[in-house]
Amino acid sequence: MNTAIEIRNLQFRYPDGKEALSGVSFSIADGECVGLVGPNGSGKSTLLLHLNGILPEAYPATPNIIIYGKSLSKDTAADIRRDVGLLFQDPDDQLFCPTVFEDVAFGPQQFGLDEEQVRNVVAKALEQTALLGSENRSPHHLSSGEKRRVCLAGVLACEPRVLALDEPTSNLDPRGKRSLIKTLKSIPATKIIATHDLEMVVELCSRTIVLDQGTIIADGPTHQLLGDEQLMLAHGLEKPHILRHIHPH
Amino acid sequence: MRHDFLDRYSRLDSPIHRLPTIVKLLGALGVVTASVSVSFTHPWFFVMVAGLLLILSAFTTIPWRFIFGRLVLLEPFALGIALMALLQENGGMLFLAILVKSTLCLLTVILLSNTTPFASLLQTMKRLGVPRLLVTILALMYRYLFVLIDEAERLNRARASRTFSASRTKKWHMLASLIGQLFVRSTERAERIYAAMTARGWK
Repeated sequence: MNTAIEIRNLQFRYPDGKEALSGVSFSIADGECVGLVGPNGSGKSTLLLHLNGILPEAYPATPNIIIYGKSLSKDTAADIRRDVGLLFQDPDDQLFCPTVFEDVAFGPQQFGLDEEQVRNVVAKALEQTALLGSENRSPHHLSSGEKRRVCLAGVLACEPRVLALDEPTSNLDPRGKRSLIKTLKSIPATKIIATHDLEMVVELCSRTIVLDQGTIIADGPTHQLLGDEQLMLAHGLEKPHILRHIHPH
Repeated sequence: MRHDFLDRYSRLDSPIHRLPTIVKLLGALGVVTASVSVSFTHPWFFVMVAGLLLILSAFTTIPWRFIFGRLVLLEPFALGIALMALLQENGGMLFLAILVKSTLCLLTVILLSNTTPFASLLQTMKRLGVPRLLVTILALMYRYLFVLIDEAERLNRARASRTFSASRTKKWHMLASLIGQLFVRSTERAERIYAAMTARGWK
């Protein structure tokens, strides 16, 4: 089995001195879908920002993040950004272009595709996210659900091998959530999803990592971990309703 | 939210709206340059420009109320500078010149921005060879103006819903802290936007 993501003893401290990650290690196989759960402020978003080198500002001497065999450093950051697509928590941060088309085309254009190729990947990404026909709309005229889908389209247009999603279902109505889950299911990339939406984790992820105060508390099969009521309550989570009738032992 | 207050009528359908963006952009640029550079000793020129702009306005089907309301809203800035001219010797003529010229320019810009979607203005600028960085900055400005307005409105609503009685000085205080908040939030957002841009390959 191919390893997609390998993290070795990752530590991170914000400039204000707050320790966000204290020695995180795990690896994710190619094609796996992993849920990353934990209370607010546990370091989930910080961890995702490390996966494509947005953080830290200076790379460590010994590589601690390896994506498909490439260790993250100053020279490989550009390549790795292409491999790892990051979906941010707030769609307004991610949609910075005046129209939907331009936004989705932003990534592919940076990667130096020609106009024809850009048009093709954009059309494909918009089709995957059910947005065909919205090319010329402005982001500020879209609903929250549509904004989220445009963000996802913008990431998919870069054709990443790893999708790192930060709270993809927050602020979505049930229908928006349903269609997002359906879209995610149809994408074969390796996925890591940071979320409080445990029902979605049960539905999408076979494996779950529980993070609290910058440390991995548990790492294992989703049903076993999320079904463990005591573990869930101890880390600001709760046993999802779908698992109520399943016992961990 | 009131997202369309800037260019509410830019998506109407009129003969002027249907003109190619490049014609409107270069036309507006021409009118502005001419109004600024032609000497005020040729008053007929300015009457003609005003006439032309008014005829164009009539064709756009944008309500007059909106056009003049917008003009009144922007006029104080021009008026402020024009008033300074009055302090000079023989300032009267200069005052009038500044006022007329800037009003014509404002009217031109109001017409341009309300007959052409901003996105298409940007695309045209790009095609005309305007530096990429400048176009990017304009695009980001336009895009985040709306986010900023939303944010200000949310902050203001949150403040209002917990303000029961306040003296005027207290209100000024709160307004000051609201602006401060907005500034801090904008810088933080700018950082997140930059991260999002880098994540998709921006260099």
